[in-house]
Amino acid sequence: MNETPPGYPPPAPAAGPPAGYPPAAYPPAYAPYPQFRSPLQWKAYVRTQLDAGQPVARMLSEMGAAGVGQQDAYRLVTEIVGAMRKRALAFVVGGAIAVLVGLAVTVATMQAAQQEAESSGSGMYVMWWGPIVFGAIAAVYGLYLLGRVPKSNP
Amino acid sequence: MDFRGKLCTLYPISWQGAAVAPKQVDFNAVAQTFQGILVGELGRAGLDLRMPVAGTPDGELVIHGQIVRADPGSRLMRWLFTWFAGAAVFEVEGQVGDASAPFGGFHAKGTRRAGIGGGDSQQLLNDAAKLAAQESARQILAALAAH
Repeated sequence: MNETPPGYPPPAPAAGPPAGYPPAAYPPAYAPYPQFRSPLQWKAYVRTQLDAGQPVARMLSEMGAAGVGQQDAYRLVTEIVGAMRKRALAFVVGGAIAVLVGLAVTVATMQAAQQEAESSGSGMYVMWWGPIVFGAIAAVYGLYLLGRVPKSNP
Repeated sequence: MDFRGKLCTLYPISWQGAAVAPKQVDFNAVAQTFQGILVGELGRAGLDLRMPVAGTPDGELVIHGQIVRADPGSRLMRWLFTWFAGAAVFEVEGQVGDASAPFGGFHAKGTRRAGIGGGDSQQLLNDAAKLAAQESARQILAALAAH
């Protein structure tokens, strides 16, 4: 092996990872090999992965490695992120409406019962706790889903 | 086209590229359920179904299918938000054609959203696969009839 003459800087290291390390690539090779998928399969796969918390960049990288055009990949991811946000907001809004409806019915029947009690001595009201409890759970779940929606469009 | 009695090569449903949720479910049993129902429905319609054999040409008609998504959902979500979350979904797509080229396609999705106490995920996914198979058979027969 030729040694570097004194006074000269050592040669640059050879390109590639040191022996024994997995091959490096840019962007990082997340998947073992590009997977061929139909458009519907890509849509389902990307939705599943984004729901599981995988980063958008990884999805774009996988689609690029599999030969999906950049525009198509961006369009697909944007569509899916929009659908995720819409679903999360539906839970938040639906849960909030359920809570309000439950509270409104409870309060209205309580007021009616109070008036009845003042006039006839007794009254009955309905405590509609189902929509209140499950609506609150749905609203919190919606906020959780909203937090998991990828923050920025690629 | 009068397809009754025609030899049809039905390829086993493929998992290639499918989006499969990482849950503790026997997906092979689900695929077999789908294939069984599809074979039954197409056979009842009069098609002479055969498995592909390596080295031999396909029949007059060929049906290829692949799974798009198999998701058993979440029992907890189905119990909490029945009809709104946690559904078990089995989605397939495929092509129908003759030995040279496809002339039609099918895309079916079976969804089961409810069960007692949320429902058993394996059972609901099986049921979703049955629904998808019945819809797939309907679309395949429609494509054959229209050709």
